[in-house]
Amino acid sequence: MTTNVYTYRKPAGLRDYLPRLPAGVWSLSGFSLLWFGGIVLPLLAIIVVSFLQGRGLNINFDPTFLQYERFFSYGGGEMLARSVRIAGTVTIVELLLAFPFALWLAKGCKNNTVKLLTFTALTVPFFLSPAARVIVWRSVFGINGAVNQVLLGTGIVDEPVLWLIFSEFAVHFGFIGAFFPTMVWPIFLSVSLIDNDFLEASGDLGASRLRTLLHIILPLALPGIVAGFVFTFIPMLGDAVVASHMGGNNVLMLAAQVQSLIGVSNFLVAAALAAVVLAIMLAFQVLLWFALKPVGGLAGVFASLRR
Amino acid sequence: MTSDNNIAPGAPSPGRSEVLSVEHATHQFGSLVAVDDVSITAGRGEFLTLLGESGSGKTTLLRLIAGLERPTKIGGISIEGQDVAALPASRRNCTTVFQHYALFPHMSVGQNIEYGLRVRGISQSERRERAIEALNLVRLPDKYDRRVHQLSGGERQRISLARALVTRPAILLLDEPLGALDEKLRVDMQVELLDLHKKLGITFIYVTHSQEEALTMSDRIILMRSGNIVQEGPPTDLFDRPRNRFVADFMGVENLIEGALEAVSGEHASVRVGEHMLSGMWSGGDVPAAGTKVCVAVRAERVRLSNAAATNGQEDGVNRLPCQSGATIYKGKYVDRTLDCDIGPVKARIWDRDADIADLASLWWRTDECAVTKIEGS
Amino acid sequence: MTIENKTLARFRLPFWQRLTDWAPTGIGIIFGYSVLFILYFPIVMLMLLSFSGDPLTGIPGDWTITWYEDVIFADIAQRDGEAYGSNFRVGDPLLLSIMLAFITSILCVIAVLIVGPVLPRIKWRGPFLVGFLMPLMIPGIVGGVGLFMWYRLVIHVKMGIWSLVVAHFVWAFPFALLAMLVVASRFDTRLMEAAEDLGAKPWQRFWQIEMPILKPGIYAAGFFGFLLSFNELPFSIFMRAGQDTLPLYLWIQSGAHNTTVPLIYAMSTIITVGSIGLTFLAIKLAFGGGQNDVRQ
Repeated sequence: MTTNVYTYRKPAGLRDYLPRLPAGVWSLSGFSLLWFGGIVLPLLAIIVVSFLQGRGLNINFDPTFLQYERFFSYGGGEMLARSVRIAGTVTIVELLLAFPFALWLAKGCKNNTVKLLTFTALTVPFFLSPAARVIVWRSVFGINGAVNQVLLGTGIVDEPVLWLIFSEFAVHFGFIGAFFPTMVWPIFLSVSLIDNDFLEASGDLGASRLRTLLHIILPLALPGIVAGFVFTFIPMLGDAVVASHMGGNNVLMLAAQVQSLIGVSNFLVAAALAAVVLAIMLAFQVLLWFALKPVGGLAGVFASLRR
Repeated sequence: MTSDNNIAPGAPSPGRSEVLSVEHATHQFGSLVAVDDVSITAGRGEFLTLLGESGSGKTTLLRLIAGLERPTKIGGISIEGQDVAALPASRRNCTTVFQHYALFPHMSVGQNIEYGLRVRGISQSERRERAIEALNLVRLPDKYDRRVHQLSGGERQRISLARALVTRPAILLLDEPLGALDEKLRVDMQVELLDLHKKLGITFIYVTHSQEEALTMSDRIILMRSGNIVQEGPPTDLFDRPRNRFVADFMGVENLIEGALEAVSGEHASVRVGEHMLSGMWSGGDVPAAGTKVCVAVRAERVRLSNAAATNGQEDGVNRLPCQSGATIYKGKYVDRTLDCDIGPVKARIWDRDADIADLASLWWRTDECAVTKIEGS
Repeated sequence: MTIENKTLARFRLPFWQRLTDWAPTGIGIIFGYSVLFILYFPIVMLMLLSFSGDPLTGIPGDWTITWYEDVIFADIAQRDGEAYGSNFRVGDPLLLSIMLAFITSILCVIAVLIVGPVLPRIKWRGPFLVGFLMPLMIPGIVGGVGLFMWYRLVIHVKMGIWSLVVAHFVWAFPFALLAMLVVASRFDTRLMEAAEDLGAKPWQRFWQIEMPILKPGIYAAGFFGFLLSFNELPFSIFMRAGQDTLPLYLWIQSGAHNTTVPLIYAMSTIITVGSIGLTFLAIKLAFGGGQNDVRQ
């Protein structure tokens, strides 16, 4: 079947030679150019820098693995492994703590006041000074701190308990509170996007609560779980505050190492370290990409908010 | 057809043993009483329709039966003689076809249908076999590997039917299953659902707000209003013998004429409306005192036109009123005419062009084609 | 039809079933609020200790406002050229941080107005979104060092206020964008078409239709920009030149001497109370209030 197409031709002018796009697209393009050129590219360029040689502020454009060798010979590998181990452990603990909570918040909690207060409590910490949140633990857990005074006073221990602060325990503990909201929010969002009909249909067809959790809720909440994992693990890995306040010099993590390298003007080794972290980050991005694919990618998550 | 026997052992028995009974169910959402002390039963192989406006409590009642909602108060619910009041939805021998289908988006069509079997621990091969059987039953034999989002609305509807049927429930609960489909598809699906019901012999409990759907499909209709049952009975009962004004209005009776009850003798009731005396079949249950306000319900298609002037005396078996011509609305298959009488406008529906009269003087209808019923109550 | 109420027992499940009903809920509630307690305990303690005579013991009591006086007077004394007991000076870092926060806030609003309304409507939004949200996926310290390397080492630009502004913008923009996208994704573009159909010119459509509907997103972007910049630390470590922002100053001081710790508590309390107040204001302005509601 053929149809006649009626074409309307406007008089030719400059605008006709530009692709016909809304004005907003042009300003978006301009901003994107600045953003990708000024921020994204420089961040990725650090990978290139890490393969160069130089001293202080002078760089030779001469590819080499030297910085990586130096980084690992300084014990960087051990530090990196410790950072990943601590951040990974806490992230998994956060996941186990946050999932039941987010599930309850999204599907179980019927009281709107409680919900609103909880949302606020989960939002406020994003805007607080990170140092203000952890600095006080020193007074609580320190040698002369509250906990030790109580323990000594009641005679439970004879000597102050030292591992409460400036230890791996303290770092783990400090992370748990600080990074809880970043895990709860994505899981909460993805669980609340699951239609109640699906949960009811599952039960109606004979599935127990456990099976509904395994077969319906977990697969549908997977994007949120992965997003929560990424948004918790990545910032924790690079956190400068908790590790230094709670770990002191006993638990050196990534941030402290980067700083000390920069402090002694060892820029290129710091670049190597940063490149390794960037590589980990990129791997996570790929993971996130695949996890979000079933729901149409990150853009699809926002599209589903439109309903 | 062996496959049909597999899904539904036993044809509907004419004796109709009871397969569902709900006694004194009450359900509240906060202070709102959604279902108010309702008792219903359903026979084996029956097609029972819960009819009502939105907010009448019909869906809540269905969810109470399914176990998706726990009643505030309950005398008892039993399915096939087993008391299920304390059982969750997963352990009741009934399945639901949801209004918006609720097909799991992360599973294929096959996985969706097999879900009920999978959670019962049935082997992969048997699952597949039964899923394909169910797909044949809903006439979508080659969709096993499709993703849910590749299906059309009508196909989703059938898949959700197949998913609910594959576990061989004693009762199939359908919550406005055709509500989201367009007009033509809806009519096709009505026929198909009826076929399925006949073939399988499973009890269907069907929730709808459409009186037309209810009349077409049901063995029995329960009409609900604000949490209570207003009337229950076979479609003809509700259609021709509405218990009260609300039922008549809901079942689409166009002319509802209020008057004072004069007398009831046998099945016939006579009603004074202005200067006229109308009579019709008494359908309001127990008879109230003379003089009580009642309602004469007559369908527009029963009203006929005449060029003979109305006499003052009563004609046998006929109600006749003088009238003048009013507005006419052309509806394609028929014409709706509004006629001005001294008791108010009366609507007449003229199917046959030849029966339309230009110089009309009166309208009439047969007394046994109109109902006299109460204004309120049941 | 009605029967006596007493014959109708209220519906009760058997005991074991009520238990399995409550167990998952209970676990969720206990886990969640325990961690929220761990999260808020130090904040409350911080406030109590800042009014306590001997904060370093970690036990509140012996109430005093002397630390607050020290914070304020040390700075005034310094300004007057007098010597003062403590060398804790928050004046300049505070001013710098407030200025940075304002600039970041304004930049965020402009940027989300450019990006937010357009992004949900274009076809290839995926790569844009990943690029814009990238700072969320990079540890701040790596982001800071990365930008520092590029600008200082590769293209040899001197750090200054400009670099702090860039750093804070990079940190705050993704959050502001997310807030705006939540609003903008729900924006019904047919409204713009209707306005055009009714004869509104492009700038009228923007000011009279788009702006009022996107207002919650704009407020959110502004407050996010301000608060996130004001409390930003990891990027600032590398992107500063000489001057300290307030979080940086407090962080450095907290590593130094025990004598300044009570003053840090006092200053942190002031910041925390201010931040919480601003957060509530932001939530109220952005998402509260019936007339701003954009639901269909």
